[in-house]
Amino acid sequence: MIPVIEVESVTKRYGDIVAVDCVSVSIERGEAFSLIGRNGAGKSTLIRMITGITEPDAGHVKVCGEDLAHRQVETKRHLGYLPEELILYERLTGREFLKLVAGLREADQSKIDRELEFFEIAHAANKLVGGYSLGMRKKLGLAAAWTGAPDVLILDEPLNGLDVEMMRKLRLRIESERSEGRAFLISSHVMSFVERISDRVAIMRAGRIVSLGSPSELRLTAGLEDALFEDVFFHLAG
Amino acid sequence: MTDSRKTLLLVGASLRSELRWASRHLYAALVLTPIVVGMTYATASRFAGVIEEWHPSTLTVSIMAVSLAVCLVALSLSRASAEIYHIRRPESSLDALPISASSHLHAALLIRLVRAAATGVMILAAAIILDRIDLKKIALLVPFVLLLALAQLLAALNWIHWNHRGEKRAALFAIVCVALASTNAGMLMAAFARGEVRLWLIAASAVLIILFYLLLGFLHARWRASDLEYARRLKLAGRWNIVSLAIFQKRLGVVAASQLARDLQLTLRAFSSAVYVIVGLALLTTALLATALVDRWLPVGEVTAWLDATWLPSVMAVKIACVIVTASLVSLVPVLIAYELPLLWVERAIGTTGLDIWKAKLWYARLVSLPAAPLVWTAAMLTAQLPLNYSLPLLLECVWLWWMVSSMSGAFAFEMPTRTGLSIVLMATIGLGAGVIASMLWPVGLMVYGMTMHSLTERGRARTRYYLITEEE
Repeated sequence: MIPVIEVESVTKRYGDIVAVDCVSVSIERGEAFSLIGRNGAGKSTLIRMITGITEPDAGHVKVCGEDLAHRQVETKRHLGYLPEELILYERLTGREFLKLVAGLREADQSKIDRELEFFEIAHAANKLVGGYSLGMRKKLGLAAAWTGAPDVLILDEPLNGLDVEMMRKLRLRIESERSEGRAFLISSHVMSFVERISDRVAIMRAGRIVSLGSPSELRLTAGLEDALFEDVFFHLAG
Repeated sequence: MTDSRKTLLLVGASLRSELRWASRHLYAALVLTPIVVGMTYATASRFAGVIEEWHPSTLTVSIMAVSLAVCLVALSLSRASAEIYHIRRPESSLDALPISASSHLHAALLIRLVRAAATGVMILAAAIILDRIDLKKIALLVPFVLLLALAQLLAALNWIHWNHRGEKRAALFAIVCVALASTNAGMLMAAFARGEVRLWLIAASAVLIILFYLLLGFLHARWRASDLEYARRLKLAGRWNIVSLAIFQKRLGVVAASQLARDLQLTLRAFSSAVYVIVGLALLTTALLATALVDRWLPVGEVTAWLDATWLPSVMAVKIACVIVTASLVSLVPVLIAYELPLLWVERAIGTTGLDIWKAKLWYARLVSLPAAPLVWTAAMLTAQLPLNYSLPLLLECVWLWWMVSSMSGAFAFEMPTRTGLSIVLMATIGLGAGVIASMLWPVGLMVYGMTMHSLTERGRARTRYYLITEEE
């Protein structure tokens, strides 16, 4: 089966700094794949290259078998993305923003209400985003990522600002949709969430993937079978 | 769905957002705007009356128009690059959606066209005030607006690419293109001002518009994706540091002095392309003064007593140039405030008072325009066209004018924090008005300053505090 995401020897430099250094990774349909690493390890840059926002200096990204560089618009239809730094139209309402996203994705607008309900912002759907709290903005960003039912959801720090109840709801939704064939690429610093949700975890350091495997495989590699996953991360990330 | 529909969706979202903003700022729209527009109209009408007999040559008008076009392009570098690369803009949340590069470009182009059209409307208004309008020639403003918008986007795209890649050939080519577009736009403006229609100019403009549109599309498709990450993380090669501001801590307190230090640091590191443009304007005004003095453009006056020298045309010109340079440099204040607004949470979080923030901006206005008096005075004295025995009083007058203009304009720093353009007009009108009166008779300026500064301080503190608490104007 063709991987939904295929990253081949991707490199990105900023002047003398190598943000992502020859990274190759693939994500299968129905897989939850997590990227973890310290700040500046290159996670967000890698994600931005996978979403086609920025171009790699070398290497290729394929989405559902199609090269992102050659068929940007078509391949992006398969992706839903929650950016880490979420800047929204302050003077649009939540509903208007989702309608805009649905319009640009050429998606069914009738499902917007369902997303608003799920993320518990239906009560504020007709209020300007400028009045939203951090958590509500994050929920709106998540609802936008889910709009159009993409094949792959790429979530950069999805838990920041969410309350415990919503974190749980989000985890359960990811687990249920994974079994329906949707793939997830998640970057998070919440290790318990990463361990619980991921099929595979990649640990990044200085632009490279230094460890890759299922949470239990990483535990074995680190020799820390009973420790917190946080300790496993520290051990492997160096 | 077609690309054009997606472009319209993007532009529609921005437009709706802007309109909502306008409807929530009725105070600015209904009260302040008419005041500022009225004051500008009155000043411009008065100026028009003064220069009624002035009929500059074609060359002079062309040079002025081209210079203005170049300034308009340079002034928009930061904003146009934000529009292309979505830097700190809500469109950044849509970057990963299935939207073609051309839709993003066309949305940015439409937004820029609206802004360029606003410039066209201002030129039209100026022409009406100066009574130099032939309605049949309005059509000349259409290619002007198109060329200006294209030049601004082309310059911004190349500016980021040059910073990122440093390719000299591409930069040279871009400079030639932008110069060509600015020159053509300037010549269209000059032709409009003189009421002349030249077919070759319109034909050349049409060719350039098509060429630059195609070039913009090509470069945007080629560079945007690779330069976007750089634009987001724009790195500066140099790091300028300023001297310690311990001297101000005693007068302003630690909180205001720290903000002042930050503001000056940001200016030295060119937080916006406006810094270059405004410094360029100040230097241009000084050069114009020196040329006027050397070429003896001004009438020679007679002096009956030593202090009468203050009304000599050459001395008056120096003082008015000092006022203009000070007002130009002070116009950095609203630009800096617009830059800092999203970061104001720092001040809010640490409980900074409205007075501290206002004081920091007032002193920023004073310090950033500090070079005005010595610059203008030195340039004027070097021409050897001024009475030597009046050199020291002239320096004192210039220093006084700098202090008064910067203080009175700086006091309005937080009058309209979210409306940068209008704020610049308001501050410049107040500064120039007060400055010109004081140039003619400095004791009157002293009186105006003494009578108003206390109230302005109170108003400035209250306005800043109000914005800090409510985020409303």
